[in-house]
Amino acid sequence: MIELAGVTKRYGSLTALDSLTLSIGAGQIFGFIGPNGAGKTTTMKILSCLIRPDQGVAKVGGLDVRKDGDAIRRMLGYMPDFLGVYDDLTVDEYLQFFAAAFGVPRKKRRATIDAVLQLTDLTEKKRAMVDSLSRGMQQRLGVARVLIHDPQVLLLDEPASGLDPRARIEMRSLLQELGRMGKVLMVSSHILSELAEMCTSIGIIERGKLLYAGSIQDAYARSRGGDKVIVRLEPGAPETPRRAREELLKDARVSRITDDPADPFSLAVEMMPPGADGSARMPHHAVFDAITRAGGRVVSFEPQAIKLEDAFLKLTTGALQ
Amino acid sequence: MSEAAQAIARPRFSWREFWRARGRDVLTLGGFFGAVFQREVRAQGRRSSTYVFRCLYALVIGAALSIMFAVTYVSMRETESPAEHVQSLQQIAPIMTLVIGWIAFGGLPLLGVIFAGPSVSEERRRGSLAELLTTPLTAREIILGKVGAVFVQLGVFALVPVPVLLASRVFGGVDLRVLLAAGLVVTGVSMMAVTLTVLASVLTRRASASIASGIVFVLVGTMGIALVYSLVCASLRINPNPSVIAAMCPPVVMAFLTAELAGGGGIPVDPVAAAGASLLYCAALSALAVVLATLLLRRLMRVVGASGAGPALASDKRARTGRSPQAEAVQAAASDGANPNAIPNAAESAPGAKPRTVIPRNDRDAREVGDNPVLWRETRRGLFMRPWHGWASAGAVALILLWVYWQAGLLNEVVQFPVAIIGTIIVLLIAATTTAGSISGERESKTWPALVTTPLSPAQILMGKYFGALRKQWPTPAIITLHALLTLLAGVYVLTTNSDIFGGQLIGSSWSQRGVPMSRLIAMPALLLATMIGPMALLTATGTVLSLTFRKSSAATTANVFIAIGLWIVVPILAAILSDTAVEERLLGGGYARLISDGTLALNPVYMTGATIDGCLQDGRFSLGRTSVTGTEFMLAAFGVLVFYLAAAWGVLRLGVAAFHRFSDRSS
Repeated sequence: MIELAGVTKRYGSLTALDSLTLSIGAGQIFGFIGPNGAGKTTTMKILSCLIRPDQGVAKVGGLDVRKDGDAIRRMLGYMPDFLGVYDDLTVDEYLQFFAAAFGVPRKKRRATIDAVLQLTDLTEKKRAMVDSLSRGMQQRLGVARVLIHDPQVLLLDEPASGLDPRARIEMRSLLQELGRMGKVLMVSSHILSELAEMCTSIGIIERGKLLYAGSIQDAYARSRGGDKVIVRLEPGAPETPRRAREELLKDARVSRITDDPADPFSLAVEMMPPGADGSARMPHHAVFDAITRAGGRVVSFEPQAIKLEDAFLKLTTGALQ
Repeated sequence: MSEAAQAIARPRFSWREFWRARGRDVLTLGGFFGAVFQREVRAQGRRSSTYVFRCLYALVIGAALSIMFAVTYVSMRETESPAEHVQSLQQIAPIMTLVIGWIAFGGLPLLGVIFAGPSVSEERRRGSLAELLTTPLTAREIILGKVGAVFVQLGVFALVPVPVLLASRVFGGVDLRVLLAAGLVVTGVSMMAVTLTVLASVLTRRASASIASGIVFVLVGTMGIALVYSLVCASLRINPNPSVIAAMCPPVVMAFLTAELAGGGGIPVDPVAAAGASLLYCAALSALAVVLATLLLRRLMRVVGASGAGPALASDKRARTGRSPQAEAVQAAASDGANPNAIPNAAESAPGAKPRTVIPRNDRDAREVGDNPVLWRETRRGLFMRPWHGWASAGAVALILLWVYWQAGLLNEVVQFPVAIIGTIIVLLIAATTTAGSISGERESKTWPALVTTPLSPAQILMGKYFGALRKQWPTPAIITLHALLTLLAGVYVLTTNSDIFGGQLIGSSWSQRGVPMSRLIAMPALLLATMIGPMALLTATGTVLSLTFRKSSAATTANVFIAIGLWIVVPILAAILSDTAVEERLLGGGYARLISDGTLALNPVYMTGATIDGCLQDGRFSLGRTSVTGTEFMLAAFGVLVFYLAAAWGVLRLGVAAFHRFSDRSS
């Protein structure tokens, strides 16, 4: 549905996008992640025919953004990161305005508007002036606007920015609902945990280069080092943690052990990843066994799950544009 | 804590101290070179527009001097004796001084308005005013910093022609007193322009509106107050003091200085003394403007601070919707998930009180949107921020006109001229300044990306914006037309009954007694409308297209103002020089002088307005420059010019549509 092949965009000496190649299929919710200034908004603007790429091909639904702007605009809904609204209109008029702009026939407008208001939970606010809405409601109104012409592709740039936790959860469930309706969603966000719960695939971009595109599980696998467990020993003899550490380090599959300065009986045990030579990952019970051999007793054992934040940090360098 | 300790902890309130602190806060000049000043000066240095304006100003002065030399050179070629050549060259010095003086007199205040226009309104739009609240800066320091930075900017512009002026003083023997007097007048008017525009910037929300209001304030300051003084004197049947008029009307002082430099006599006051008085008048008005701006900004900062919401929120929203803080609390609570219809007020929240349903005042029934939504929205936007603003403006205009009618007489042609000409200038001013924010304003309020990602065609967007901007300008032409119709009706009444209206004050002798036929009275409103609508349509078109090409509405407004100045001030001056027989003969071979001057004047709306009033109410002969024409010919010329302007407006809009993709942010 969305294809970018070797897309490059420069602003003077700054290369905002560097040969970006990406493909998003039908029915996907694609999370677009990257540091500030990485090129996410530029990519979305290119796809919504707001910026012309310097090189490469960008297509939406098989249509070229350089040639088929009108047709793309009819099948695409773009919600920019900074949403401005016409403050002299009511919510209903605002949606009518965009329904007319997208050429929704007059007879269908009322039903369409009622449907998107219901979907975005704004029905009660339809007679309110747009500028009287809270930030969260204005964001929802922005989503309602991009849905008014029932587009197949939705580009949402930071749709949850500035929202309170409740509004964020509502926004997430709304986007999931849209995904279930079969729409293609490209969502950029800095709240990675939300993307992890919602997206079927992600892309990580930094300094205009796509570092990763694929499923979230694959991203975890790629970024994953060894497992990490936090082990808390029963307080007792002061030398127990030292003995446990020595016993654990005898195993070549343990890469590092760090202490918790606040708790001398707590150890963070990092294990080597499975080797390319086929060596296996160290099982958790081996950690248990080593500590028992050292005379220690385990009070708590907490395996650390890898998060999208970890994957993001491992895949990006943190360099600024 | 004991009562004594409390008394020590809480100092006694003193009105004297209170007013002393307020006075110190408002009137002292501390902070003139403070943080705001330094930031503004640095920002100016980084803006490319600063250097563009400096180059343009130098170019205008250079072009004017070149034209003068060219004209002198052409005249010299006609003389043979070297003595006459030297004499011609010596005559250039005072003319050169005059030209530079008038350019500075017109240019520096205009540049001051352009630079000062966005000073506070841009801060509000960007939301940085709320940031300033978190610093210890006071409103006075902010205003003085802004004013000071523009003064520095204008100072650089003022230095541009200094070498030429020094040369004219040394080699041409121009009187130093006159030079200094001209400098005083220009300084005074520039200072007044900057401070009044900063005041306008505090009052308005958009830079384009600030610039428009600044120009109006400057016109009122430089001419309006003197006009009111003259009218008051006339109503009291006393002669106005020429020194007072000169002091309150800097253009009159410049005219006196021009006459002095040209060696002409008959000046009723000492022009140098008048220049000093003019500077004092401008300084007083500037001080008043700074104090008012400080007080208004302080109030604005309190409102923005109380909202705690950042960019231009609470005050602006309240200004637009007229909502009370309580209604906003209802909205805020509603946004937190509560039912807005069940918010009790403070009294009702007491135990046992009955909850009362509050309906937000801003809830409105939706209107049906048409199939061209841009046109629909633009034609339904209010002309004024609040309805009572419109009624107050209409009432003020009606009162002024009635007072003028009462004092001077509706059928007095002396009244017809200022009303029609001031009206035409206001029409041009509004068209030049208020139309250039239509698209750049959308960019500034971040609504533009949403609009251009719809399938609306460039023509739909541009035409919608154009007709919306055109519609907003109807009040001034309507007032002028109404005035002309009143003139017609009064004339008809007098023609029918030959009796006075309003106890003899409204009229002098009737039109019939003066030989003015009905046909000319009927033609007058039509001619005035035709004269105004054409330039208005063209400036609205250029404003709309410039708002597409420029990202900032202040830049678009500035460019449109320059187009108006170029078309109706610079072009006539150039045409006057070119139609000078000697120049025209040299350059074009002769025979075109009359065509150039008449054609240029026919295209000038202010001239055509004057010619319309003159022709309709005098002897029925209309002047088109050097040519005297009949009423029919004049009407043909006026309507021909109207068609020309409408065609030009259409052409500009077509150009805008063709260039839409280049400037609109759409890639295809």
